[in-house]
Amino acid sequence: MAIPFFIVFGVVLVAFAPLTFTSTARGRTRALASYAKRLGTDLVSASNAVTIARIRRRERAVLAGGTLGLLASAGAAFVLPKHLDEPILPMMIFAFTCSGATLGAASASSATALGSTDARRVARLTTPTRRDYVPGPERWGARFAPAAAVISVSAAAIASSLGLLGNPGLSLTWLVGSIGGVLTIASFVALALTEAISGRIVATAQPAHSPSELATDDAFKAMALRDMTMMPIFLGFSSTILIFLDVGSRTDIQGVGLPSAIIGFVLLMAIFGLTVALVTWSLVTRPQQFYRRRLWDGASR
Amino acid sequence: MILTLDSTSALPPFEQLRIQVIDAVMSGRLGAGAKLPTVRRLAEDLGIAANTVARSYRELERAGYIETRGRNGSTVASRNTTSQEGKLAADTFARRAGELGISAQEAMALVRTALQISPQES
Repeated sequence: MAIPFFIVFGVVLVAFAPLTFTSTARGRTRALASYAKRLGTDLVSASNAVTIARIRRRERAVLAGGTLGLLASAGAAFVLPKHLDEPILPMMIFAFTCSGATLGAASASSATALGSTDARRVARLTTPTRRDYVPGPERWGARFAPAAAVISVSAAAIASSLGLLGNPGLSLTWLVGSIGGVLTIASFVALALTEAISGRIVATAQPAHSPSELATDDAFKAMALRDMTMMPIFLGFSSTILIFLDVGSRTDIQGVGLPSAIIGFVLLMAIFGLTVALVTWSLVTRPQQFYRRRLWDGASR
Repeated sequence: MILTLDSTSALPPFEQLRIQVIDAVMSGRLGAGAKLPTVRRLAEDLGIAANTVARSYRELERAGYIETRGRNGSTVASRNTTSQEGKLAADTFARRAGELGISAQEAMALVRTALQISPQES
């Protein structure tokens, strides 16, 4: 029952590495064009070996991190076999895999290497900050998601202690030790890591021979920073959903737990609605090109 | 605002840097209070020695274009009055004339030509 989920997530992971798994020049050009269109930079025209190597390094890091996450979720499923047939399993695999992939992508943000030997060098006369690379909703989402998870755990613990769930086994200790609880803690760790590592990524020098090279480096920097920011969002969101599903499946909905179950269901739908709204916003505003709107559009290149 | 450094130029790097910053300030592309990159960051970005950037920043501060506040870094200074800007322009010209080996008389002649003033009028 669990095997198909692992296979699906494994295939999705591979789809995030088009340049790594292509061996033809045509496939390489197509993959680069896709990146260029998504990031809003002329990667194809500047498709030198350095740029391609940098993208491949990032893709391999995503694959390595995502695979480790997938294996970690398999390990967790092995340790907790009673969850294998429950709806939380896909959520758990999603959380582990996405977190591993984003951590891998962020770790691939190494120092830049220049793509040509032009005697000219360019630099920006103002220093960009994280706000120039990551949109506000994502930055705040990285703080909101872990907070929402903590609130979910706390609310479940309080409801249980008041006897509103009809299941005395749902103590705070149990909640913290559950998968949702563990991921809640992990989301805060991820948030701390994001805040610490993001500063270092922003402070990394950007040697460039042309505005085009500088813009390409901005694109990579934005990808790394947004990947880091996604980690606490994935973990916080996943843990919130897992807590709702876990607690909901153990609530006595036939008895005193019914009102709490209804409230929980409404809140869960609200979270789904918020998620749909954020995904829609993401598709419309193209946050992958946020850095370009902040740093390049309207400014001299 | 993008700085460009040409290693094949006859102008030394610190001078190229200084001129471009002044141009950006005078044209308004860099407003008062705008924060400049740290010496180390700009040196790493441009691939030059930190001392070169530091020299540029010192010259700019001396000329009143930027202000340095220790660990808070350097920012563009508030716009000066017209007479102060004129004095800054004169100081810059005089320093550059000295570097090029132009005598005071030759420098005055250049100024008169630029201002379209006849020798009798000045």
